[in-house]
Amino acid sequence: MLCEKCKNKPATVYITKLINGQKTEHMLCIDCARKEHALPEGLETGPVSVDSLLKGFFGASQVSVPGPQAESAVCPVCGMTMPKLAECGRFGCNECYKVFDDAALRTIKHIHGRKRHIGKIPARVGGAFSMRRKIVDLRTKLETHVSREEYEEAAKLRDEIKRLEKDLASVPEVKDDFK
Amino acid sequence: MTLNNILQQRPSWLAEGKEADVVLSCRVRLARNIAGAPFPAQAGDNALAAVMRVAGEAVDELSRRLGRTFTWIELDKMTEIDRAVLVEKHLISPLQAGNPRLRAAIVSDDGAVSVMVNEEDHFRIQVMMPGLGLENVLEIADKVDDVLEEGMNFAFDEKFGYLTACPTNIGTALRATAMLHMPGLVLVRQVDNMALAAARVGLIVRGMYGEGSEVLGDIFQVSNQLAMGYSESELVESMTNMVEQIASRERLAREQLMEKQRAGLEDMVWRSYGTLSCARLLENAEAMSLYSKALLGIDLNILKIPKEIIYQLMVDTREGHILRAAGAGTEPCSKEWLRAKIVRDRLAEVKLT
Repeated sequence: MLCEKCKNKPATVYITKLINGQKTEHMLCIDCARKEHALPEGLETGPVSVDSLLKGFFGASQVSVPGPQAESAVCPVCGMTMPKLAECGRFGCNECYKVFDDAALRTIKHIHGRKRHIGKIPARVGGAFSMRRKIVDLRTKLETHVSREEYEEAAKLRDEIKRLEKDLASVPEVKDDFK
Repeated sequence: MTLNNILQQRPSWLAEGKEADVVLSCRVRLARNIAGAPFPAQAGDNALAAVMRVAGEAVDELSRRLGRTFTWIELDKMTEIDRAVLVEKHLISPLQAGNPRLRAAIVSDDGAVSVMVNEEDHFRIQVMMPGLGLENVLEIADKVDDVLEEGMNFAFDEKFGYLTACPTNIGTALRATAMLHMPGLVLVRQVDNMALAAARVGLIVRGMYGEGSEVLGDIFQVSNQLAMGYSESELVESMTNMVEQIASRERLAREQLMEKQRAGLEDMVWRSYGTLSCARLLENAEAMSLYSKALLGIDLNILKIPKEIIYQLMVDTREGHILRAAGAGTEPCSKEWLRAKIVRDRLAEVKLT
């Protein structure tokens, strides 16, 4: 892909401009982008990468959420801290997603919107989750049958939900005991 | 299968598959981490070694259940050139090759499946096939995932799905990629528009070797950007649809060129073939650009030689492959000479019809 301005060097910068509600998009090389003053500060040294954007997300959430945990929290598993997270833009382990709750949620919302995971569930750690998901599905079906006055079908589903709930109660908690 | 065989043999994705005129190969990658263990970038030697241990234990089971033979390759027990060869075969990533200590790959004998150990995440499961066949590729990746999971608890969250080092990968942690050859769109200067349109529907368009790599030989990697909020099969299905769309655009560009600029196109193809057959020094970027034109010529029936020869050259004349074939003591300055010689020798065996 060549820069659309000079048509000479490869385009490495992708720019979306919003001016008075008019959206324009451009693919430029780093030199033309610099000439256009299109590069945000701090990015002049290289192309816009996922890395630099991620650092931005974590950095921003650090400034706007001076909550109790944000500044001083240290992840007990990997030793990650908030300043380090803002610097590297990557979580250090799965526990970080809980420890840096606010930062994680904000960043994830920035990137993924309000989406939730709906794909594959690992059998070992996701057993209980799969069952809960199934119970929710069955309840929805149950309500449909009830509203259509199909009581025989509804009774079957009710029994199945009861059985699943009993099974769910006996699923042991999964421990992260990896050494 | 020994490491030597894997390094020497041609990977199975280097062949003609479905939609082969545009889609060279397709790949699915799943990122997985072990719960309670620091991700590789934050892990000390003990933690990295522990991940290597559980990964090593999965090798035999993978061979048994996948019906392929898997080999365990420790990256710090090989030369830098051999690592470069593995990168050029897409079996490990440049990131892994640059930091080989306590890093490994579990590779299938046909080069179609590899599990990178201690890359950005603990495991990167990767399956690659020629042409467009993402559903089949996903099915194999899914099986590898099932086998790995039996030996460990994966980092998983009910809302966020599979947890990964980079928050852009969470959810299914799936990335589907198609390697597209698009000389037509490059010639009619429509690649930029295609890339912008692709970005709007959530696809990223990049160079042949992924993030940060330059575009060589009109070959582009198209992948999904995000992986949360859709199931694996939905992601693969929409990716397949979009790749088919892009491929049809590429075909249209080729048809238009054939219609309006046939003489110019034929000249370009034959000049490229001439340079490949006669040049004494070839840089990689130039070679890739000439291969691209030769492939286009074959697709348009201008040049009648087997496509496989060019496919094979595309991998065999990468720097790592050249240096490995030449053996120790090769002067780095003679790479271009060696490359040109390999190309000449191979093309000399071909009969033009």
